[in-house]
Order: sequence, then C-alpha cells, then structure tokens
Amino acid sequence: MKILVIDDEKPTLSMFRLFLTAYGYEVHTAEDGEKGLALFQEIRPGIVFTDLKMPGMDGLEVLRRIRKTGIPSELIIITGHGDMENAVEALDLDASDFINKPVERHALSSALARAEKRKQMQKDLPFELLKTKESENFIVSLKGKLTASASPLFSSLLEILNPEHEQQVTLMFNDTFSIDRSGIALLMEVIRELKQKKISIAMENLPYNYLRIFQMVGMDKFSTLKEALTDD
Amino acid sequence: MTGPYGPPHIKDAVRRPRLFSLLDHHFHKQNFFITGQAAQGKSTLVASYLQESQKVSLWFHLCLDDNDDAKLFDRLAAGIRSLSGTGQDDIRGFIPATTLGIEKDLFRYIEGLTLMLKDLSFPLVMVFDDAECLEEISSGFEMINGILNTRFYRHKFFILSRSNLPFTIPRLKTEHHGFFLKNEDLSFTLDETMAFFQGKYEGKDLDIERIHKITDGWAGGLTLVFESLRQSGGVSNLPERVSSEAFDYFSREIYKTLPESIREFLRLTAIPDIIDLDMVTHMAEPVDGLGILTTLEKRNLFIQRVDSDDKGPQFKYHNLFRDFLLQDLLRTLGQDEVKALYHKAGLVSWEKKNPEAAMNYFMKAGGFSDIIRILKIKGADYMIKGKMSGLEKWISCLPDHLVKDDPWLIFFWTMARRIRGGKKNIRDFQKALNLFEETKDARGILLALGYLIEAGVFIREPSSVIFKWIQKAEDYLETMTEKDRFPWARGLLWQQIGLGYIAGDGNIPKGVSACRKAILLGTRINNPDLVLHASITMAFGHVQAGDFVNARQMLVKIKGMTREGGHPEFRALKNIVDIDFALKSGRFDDAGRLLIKSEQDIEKFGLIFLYPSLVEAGALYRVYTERFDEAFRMADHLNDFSILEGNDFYKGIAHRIKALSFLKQGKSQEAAHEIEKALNALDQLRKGDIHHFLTQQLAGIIYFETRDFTRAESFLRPSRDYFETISSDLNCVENDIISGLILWEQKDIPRALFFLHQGIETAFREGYVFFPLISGKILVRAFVIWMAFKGHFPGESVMGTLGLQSYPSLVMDEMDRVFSSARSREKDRIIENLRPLYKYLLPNIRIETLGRFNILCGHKVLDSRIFEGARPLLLLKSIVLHGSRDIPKEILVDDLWPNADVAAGEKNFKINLHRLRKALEPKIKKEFGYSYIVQKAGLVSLDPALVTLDVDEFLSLSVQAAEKEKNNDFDIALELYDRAAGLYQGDYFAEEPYLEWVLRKRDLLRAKFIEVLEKKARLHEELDQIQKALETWQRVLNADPYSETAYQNLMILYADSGQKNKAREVFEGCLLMFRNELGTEPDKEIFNIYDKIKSR
Repeated sequence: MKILVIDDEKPTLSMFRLFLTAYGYEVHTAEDGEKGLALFQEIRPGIVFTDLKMPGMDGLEVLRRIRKTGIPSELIIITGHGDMENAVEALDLDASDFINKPVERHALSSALARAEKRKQMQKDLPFELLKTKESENFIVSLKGKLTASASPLFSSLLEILNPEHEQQVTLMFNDTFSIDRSGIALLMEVIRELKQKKISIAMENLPYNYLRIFQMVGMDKFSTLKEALTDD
Repeated sequence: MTGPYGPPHIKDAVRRPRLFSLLDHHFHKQNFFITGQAAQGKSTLVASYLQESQKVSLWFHLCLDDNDDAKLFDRLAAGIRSLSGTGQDDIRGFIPATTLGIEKDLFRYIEGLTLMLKDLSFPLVMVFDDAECLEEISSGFEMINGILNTRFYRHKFFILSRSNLPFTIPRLKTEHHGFFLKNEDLSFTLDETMAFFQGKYEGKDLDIERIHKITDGWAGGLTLVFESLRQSGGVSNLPERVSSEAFDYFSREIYKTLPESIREFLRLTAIPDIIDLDMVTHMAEPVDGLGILTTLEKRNLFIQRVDSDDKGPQFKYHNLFRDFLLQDLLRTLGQDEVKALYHKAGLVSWEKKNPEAAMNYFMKAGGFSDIIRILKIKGADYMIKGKMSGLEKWISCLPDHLVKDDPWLIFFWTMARRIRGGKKNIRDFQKALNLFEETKDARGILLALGYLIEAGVFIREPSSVIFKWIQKAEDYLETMTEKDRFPWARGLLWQQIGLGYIAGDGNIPKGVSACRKAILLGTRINNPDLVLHASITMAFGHVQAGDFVNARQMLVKIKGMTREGGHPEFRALKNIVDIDFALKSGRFDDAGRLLIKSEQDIEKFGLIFLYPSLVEAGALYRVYTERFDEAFRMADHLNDFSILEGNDFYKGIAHRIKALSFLKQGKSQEAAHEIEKALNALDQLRKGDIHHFLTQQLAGIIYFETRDFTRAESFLRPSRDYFETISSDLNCVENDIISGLILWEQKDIPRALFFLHQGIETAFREGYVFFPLISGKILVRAFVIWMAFKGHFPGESVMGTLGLQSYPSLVMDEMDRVFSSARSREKDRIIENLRPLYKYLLPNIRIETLGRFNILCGHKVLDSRIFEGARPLLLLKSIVLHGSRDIPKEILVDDLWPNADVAAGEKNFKINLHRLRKALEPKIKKEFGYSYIVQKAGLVSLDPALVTLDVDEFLSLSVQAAEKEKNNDFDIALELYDRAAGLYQGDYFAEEPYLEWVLRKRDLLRAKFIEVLEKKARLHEELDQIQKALETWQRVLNADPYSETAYQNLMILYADSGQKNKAREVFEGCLLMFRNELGTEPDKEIFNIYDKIKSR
C-alpha cells in the first residue's frame, strides 16, 4: 500500500521512510503541504500522515484540501505532544486518526492497523447504538461517526438504564467508530450522568489514540478505558 | 558480438544512409530511443548500423520476465561478463541481497551494473529490443530507467520499442544525452522503397510509387508486398492501404499458400519462446525444421536467427507473427491441446535442466503439481544462491489451497517478499515454522526460525518477542540430534540470531559470538555469501557498540570478500567507522563529507539499523564544530527514533550528546543534569561495555568541571580500567589527564604528575591532535603542570600539533596558578622548566637589513615611533652588525657614544637598552624577564630562537647553495642561489649611508651578493639554460655596472646563441661605461672576445 508522509523536518521524513518501508509500505514523502497535495493527487496513497505545524500550508489545510479532492484516503495527523485542541480540530475535519510527537511505536502501529481496517470498511456509516444485556452488565456497541446529532440516541439510552437493574455499562467501540469535538462533549456528558446514577462505566476496544484523547479530557476519572487489541 | 547477446541476423537489409548519418551525427549522445510500430524496421536498422560501424554491442530481446529486476540483472550481468571474458564467479557487479537494509534490491542491481560497465575498457552499445514489454510500474523498467539516468561517457544504450516509454529522465538530460527516432523517421522514403525492391525483380515493371503510397513506408508492409508479389507476380490485387492492422489479413494470405505440413510446423513451434532444434524435435513431427526456419529467415518472413554459443542455431518469431500463429494453433487444436503442448515444452525444458523455463511452460499449462515438484527440489537452491526473484511469480500462480498448508510453499512465498512483507512475514514464517515442527522437518525449522527473527528485527518487534525466538532457536540448535546436518541452514540461523541479538535485543556481545559461529560454518562449507552476511552483521555489532577498532578490522576482512564500491552495507559501515576516526582526529571537513555520503547510502538502501549511528555521528560532528543548536536538534531526533523504536538505548546516547554539548559550552551544571539521564538509560551493560564506560568517563569529566572530585573519580577509575583492557589509548589519555588534574587539585602531587605524565606521553607517542571530551582549557592546565614539574619540552612540531598557541592567555594564566602554588625552593626550577613554553608562545621577530630596515613582530612591521627616538634603533642595528651574539656592551657603547666617558656611556646604554626591550616586548611575565634581547655577564645577544635576521639567512643560503653545487645537486643549488639572491633587496642598512661602522660589512655583503649571482649564472650556463644565464648576468651588471666578467659572459652567450648584434651592443655599452664613467678602457680580454666574435 502507498503511504504519503508530509513533514517539513527532513530527519522526521527519513525516519518515517525507513520505518514504514520496513513495515512493508511503499513510502512517498513531501517536505511541505503544497508538494504533499500535488503528490497526493499523483499517487493516490491509501494512507497519509501529515504534520500539523508546517510553514506555508499547515496540516489542517492539507487535510481540508485532500478531503475536497474526494479521493478516498485515511488521513492521520501528527500533532505536538499534548496538543489536544488541534487533535480535536483534525477529528472535526474528518481525520482518521492522530498521533503525537514524538511518535511512539505503539501509537504508529495502532494508527496504521486502524487505517488499514477502515480502508476495508464502508464509509459514512450513520451513528448507531446497539444494546445487549449480559446479567447486570449492559453492553452498548458504538458504530459510525459520533457527533452531537446522536444526542437523542443517548437520551433514550439513559432513560432505560436503571441502577437497580444495571450496575455496569460497557461502551464497546466498533472498528468503524469515529468521533468529532461535539461527539466527545456528548460522550463526556453521558458518562457523567451515568456516574451520577452510580452506574459504573467501562469503555472497551478503544483505538490507542482515542484512548489518549479520552484521557486528556478526563474521561478516565469516570470510566475504565481499555485499548483495542492490535497485532503489535 | 555473436552468441546469445549478438544482434539479430539481417538478411538483405536495405542500407539506409539517411538514418545512419543521423545516428552518426548524434553518436556523442548516450541514449537512443527508437520508437515505431511493429515491423517498422527498428531492429533491422540498429543491427545493420552496428554491423556496418563495427561497434561492440550486447543485444537483449526483452520479454515479460524482464519486468523482474533480479532476472533482468542476471541477464544483463551475464552479457557484460561474457564480454569482459570473466566467468560467473567474477565478483564484479556482485551485489548480495540485503543484510541490514529494508529497501528493495533494485538500487543494488543498478549500482552493480554501473560498476561492471564502468570497468569495461572499451565502448559498448547495449540494445534493449522489444522494450514495450516492460511495464511502467515494474522493477525491470525502473532498472533500465536507472541505467539511462547514469552518465557513462563511453557506452551507448538503444531502446527499441513500439511505444513511447515513460522513462523519467530530466528534460535537459534527455535533450543533451538522448536522441529520438520516431515512427515517421523510420518510414521508408520513396528512394528507400526503390532500394528495397532493387535487384529483386529485375526486368519487371514495378509501380514503386504505388507500393510506397499504400504501405506508407511501413517496413513490414514492404515485406508483405514483396512476399505477395513473389507469389502472385503483380501489384494489381494489393489493397489500397497496407498498415500494421492489415498484418493479420496479409499473413493469412501468405500463410495459406504454404503447405499444411509447414503451417503445422510453424503453429507448433510458436509455443516455445526461443526455437532450438532440440525443442523442434520434441514439439513437431519429424520434419526438416532447420530447413524451414532457414528458408523463412532468408525470405525475411518475420523470423530472426538468434545466435547461441553452444546450443546450435536458435530462432525467434517476430511477436506479431507468433501471436498470429498461436491464435491459429488455438483455433486448430483447442485450449486443452494447446495446454498439453505447453506441458510438453515444460517437460522438455525440465529434462534440459532449465527449471525456470519449465515452470513458465507449466504455468501456461496449468501444471501446478509440476511447478510444486520443481519448487520443492530447486527452492532451497534458489535461496542459497540468493535467486528469489521467480519464486513469487510461480507460487502466486498456484491455487491457494495448494499453498496454504504446505510449509515449504508458505516459506518460499514469504521469502519472495522477505523485505517488503512487513508484519505479514511474521505471521507467515510463524505458520511455516508450526507446520515444520509438526512434520519434524529440521531444515525447515532452522530456516523458518532464522527468517522469523530477521522479520521481527526488520519491523522492530519488541526485544522481548525477538529474544523469545532467539531462545527457541538456540535451544533447537543445542538439542538437534543430527548436529552435522544442514550446515548452511544452521549457519544462516546463527547469523540471524546474531542480527537478532545486535539489532533486536541489544545484546551485542552475544550477537558477535553468534556471528562468529555463522562465519565458521560458512567457511567450513565454503559459502562466501553466508560468511559475508555474518561478517557484515558482526561489523555492525562492533559499530553499534562503539568498538571502532574491531569494526575497522572486520571491515578490512569484508573488503577482501567483496568489492568495496559495490556493497552498500560495507560502504555505509565503513563510512561510519571513518567518520568516527575523522572526528577523533579533528578532521572535521572529512567527517562532514563522509556524513553526506553515508546519509545518501543509508536512505537509498534503507539501511535502517545504521540510521541511528549516522544521526549520532552527525550530532557529534556538530558538537565538535560548535554548532550546538543543530547538535541538540539531532540529539532530539535520536531520542525520537528511540521512542519510535521502543527502546531506551538511543535515548541514553541522545542525553550523552546533550551532556557533551553543554560541557563544550562551559555549562557544566546542565551537562551534569543530562549525563545523569544518560547514566540511567545506559546503566545496563547489554549493549556492550563501551557505551556504558564512555558515559561514565564523560560523567567523570563533567563532575571534574563541577569540582565534585569524589564523584568524578568514582566514574573515571572503572572507565580507565576498562579502556586499558580494550587498548583504547585516546580514552585512556583523556582519562589520565582528568585524573591527574583531580589529584593535583587534591594536592596529591606525585600521583597527579604520574597520571599527567602517562596521559601526555601517550598523546605525544600516538600523535593525538584532538581530544573529543576534554577542552582546550583542561589540556592547557594539564600541559603547563606537566611541563612545570617534568621540565621536558616536547619540541615545536609536537607543540604545533597540540595547538597550544591558540590559547596563549590561557597558558599564561595557568603559569600564574602554578607559580602561585609552587614552593619557593621549587620556583626557579619551575621557571626554567616553563621557559621554553613561554618562549614558544612569544611571537617571532624578524629583522630585515638588506634594503629597507624593518622589524617584523609576528609578520607585522613595527612602527619606528614605538622606540622613543633613534638611539634604541641604532643600538639594535649595532647588535645586529656585530653578529647578534655575545657582544660585549663596551663595543656597542663605543659605536653609539664614542665620545662619552665610561659612566655616561654605561648610563646611555642602560636607558636605550631598556627602551629597546620594552618596544620589542611591551608586556612581559616578570618571572621570565625580557626574552628577545638577553644580557649576561656584560655580553648582549639576540635570542636566536626568537629573533631571525635576513642577513643570516642570506649567508646561510649562499653556503648551502655552494655545498649543493659541489655535490652536483644542481637543481637544489639553483633554487637556493635564487632564494639567497631574492633576500638581497638592497644594500646592507641602506638607509644609513653615512654610518661608518656599517660600511665594511655592507661592501662585503654586496660582494657576496654578486658572487651568488655569478655562481648562479655560471651554473645556468653549464646546464645550457642560456636565457636564465643571460638574465642572471644582467642582474650582476645591475648590481655592479663595471663587472667586466658580466660583460664578457654576456657577449659570449649572445654570440654563441647566434645574436652577434646583441653581443656587439654589450661590448659597446661596456666601452661607453668605462670611458665615460671611469675615463679608462676595460681589460683587453673583452677586446679579444669581441674580435673573435667579429671574425666568426
């Protein structure tokens, strides 16, 4: 599979080229957004990594323009360490994932695994909540892109949950799951309410980088977070 | 060139002067792109051009297989070897598969071919025919693209293709180095069409214009028309247009006139790619195959003879014609029969020991079991020989169900994508391993384990995972029942265990030991490839460990195994070792150049394991060249690499680089902070001891700077012991110097001096000029203390290499520290011990007396005003005049104040000597006093080590020149005379014309100058250097216009060289000079000479 890496730091490009080639990808690199965009249209890579902060066209602009081309590709934004605001903005712009600098091996592997999985799946699935019950554990599967528009679905979920019958809710994140800023706010609100109802919450099968962002917004104070298993 | 790489045989080709002259005109270019439709005469044109111009060529008929870079490389390399007269064992162009890289082998192949071509001593033309069969995205296409993009200067490349191929050659390069012949250029003109038919239809009235019009100059059309005419005798039945699309129709028209037995023969022989008589015997009914093929060839009917060295005549159908025949074969026999024929061809090829051709035929026949049978027999051989290229193609054509449960097929399939398979390789090697274990296939287990470890290392699996496999492999090797079996597989496994330990697990000593076992096994079974790969892995281990001494030794061995230039791993490792050496020797320009070369190779060949060593070297280079910000960024990048790789090792190195960077900037507290982090990260010894002790040593130096001597010593002592055991002298020197200074600070003088002596003596002995860890300040301190107490001045050349003259003020400060701490009874000895160093740091003074009087201090002319009057300068002149050494002061007083009484003279002398000394040496160190002018026991001298005189040099050169002339060293003598004469810029103390005490010496020196010139002139004469002799005699006359010797010699020289008029002019000039200026006649000898000249 072709991968395009856009970053203004030459050493970072060299490092990505070496690692991703070793992973078995055909790696192309560009030193700025303009060149990256031109190369994207020429080679149509399956996955794109782009640094966020670059002189000239920044990573978010690259993301916007790539989305405009309509060429399907998984876009992974490389953000500075702890740069949650930009990570969330990237998610708003429909980035597939984000990874923090310095890039951890596990984060890279996880982002690649998720991108490859998502490439196989149908895009633009409507958000869905699928509920099943196992004794006192209420399991809710989350599919598709979670945005503020899913609020009624969660309201009805909260209505049916009764702490006398359900002591734990497990939110199970499907591989198609993605989220934006409003979705994060909504999810935060939901788990707060569940906590108020004295229902314990577990979030499972979370992509590694989502787990990091959920930790950053403090969801780990209300819920246990479990990462999705990857080959790595 | 005949044989398999010869151009196709051309029968009755029409000579095409128009195109030949175009090719001639552009033959200075390198790449020739000949593009035209099928049967447009591309091959005929180029083959006949090469034949006529008698150029050495290699002709390659490309086919679909050549899309594979490995196969294409094998063919091209074999062709070039056949020309250079070397066998398959020749190592030129031998580029083994990767040991440490993750990039595909394509670049290795291009580099190998480039080397082979550049080695050829004659110009070569390489022709790539049927190039349209290369797919744009294939590695074979990329390889040709790479060759065309390389500049060879002598060799030429012809690309013959039906379509324009999208080679990515920069536009300018294409214009300057490429020439294009397109379809329309190749089309036959009317004249050429006439030439085509000339002599073929004598007496017949052919409408050539019409033929030219309907064929539109298409060469294939002309052949078809010719054949049609041969059969029907006229042109009336020809269609209106004969284009390549009409080929099928036309072929059929001609083909159907042939007897069925021949038609059948043609159909059946369309099955093989190359038709040889052996294959013909098996494929077709007993017919005169050679006769049929030769007849067709003579008629130029879309068949070419392809020469072969030892297999008898071979033929190849034109692709269009072959397609036509195969279609007819399918129509006649049906698919099953055709498949059976392919199967038969496969069997014949297998019998003829050509397994690759056999599998190609079996693939077309759907003979999967045959392919599997051959793969199982030959697969391991391909692996041992590193020929993996076909495996992927053959296995990929097999149905999944035949592959998925067969361990060898899974293994070979995975091996075929060994480098680019990424994570899938782990899964598949693991699966193959499980299946091998189930079937207890020992060889399979050894190989699957080996490549499983390698795949884990390539994709940077966590070290715990890799270590688990290594343990399993070691256990298996230990418990194997038949220990002598499968030595290659066992050797390979040891090599991969070595790689696993070094690059995956980080245990370098164990990795090196495993590589050693692999090398032993490889040597025993005489497998150079295994020995080479294991040696490279071992050298990598040494580099990784920072053990550059062993790495260098290993590289010397590797160099003997393969060609230096043709092996990326060798070159990259050697560059890293050389960078280390250059940095430690202070040769930073060399280090910078090597870094660029190394980076190019590592990126190009994907040598991921060498990348961090390169970044480390780059960061150190920037520290030593004081580009600290850049060094920090590189250290951060190394840290990023460490995080991405998932181990702490390079994190530790990054901290160590930052610590060193802070130390070099004099920020010892920040350095201490970073070195603590490095110590934590590198505390373990598994990476090999060197990094651990290097960090400890740096920590010792940093804590010395922070004056925490106890902590510093706790690091220095163990590292000193370690570096002594591995004979790392430079590290020992740095360690000794710091240890000595610590002891000095702790007032343990005897031990301090012991360490300093040990360190400095070793540094002198080994010729170290740069110390990577210790600063100039520390070096100065150590050296001053050592000299103060040891009193041994190592000589100016050694001092020069140490570069102490760059820090004069530091040296002076250190001397002050030593003086202030010395006991009074030691002080005089210390002063005398340090005096040579003090004097060494003073600028030299040169006094010019011949011509203008000048005093130069360190190459700068001193202003006479600093002498506070004329007397101090006169005093200096007097000292100089009297020979500069041991002059009784009374003589000087007498020169300057002849009329003064003794007391007044003494007083004047003192005052003016003081002024003179002060002017020459405004700042003195009181312990040493004045240095340039010394007064001892009433004798005054200029210090010869500090003050030099042009007059001394002039006299010395004159003597040396005379000596050399005496010893018949004429060239050197002339050079010395020249230098001596050059120093004489004018009379001695010319600006003091009336100073009596100067006159005598002035006359003596002028006489000496003339003597030097005369000797020089005579020597030129003896050596028949007439012009130079004339010039020199003229210089004599300039210095002494009454030199009769000069006049006489000039006259003789002019006369002897046929310039009688000039000789007369000299004579007349002489007479005039003597008569007008002296009122006398010159010596009669000059008249005798003149008479002789006149009478000639």
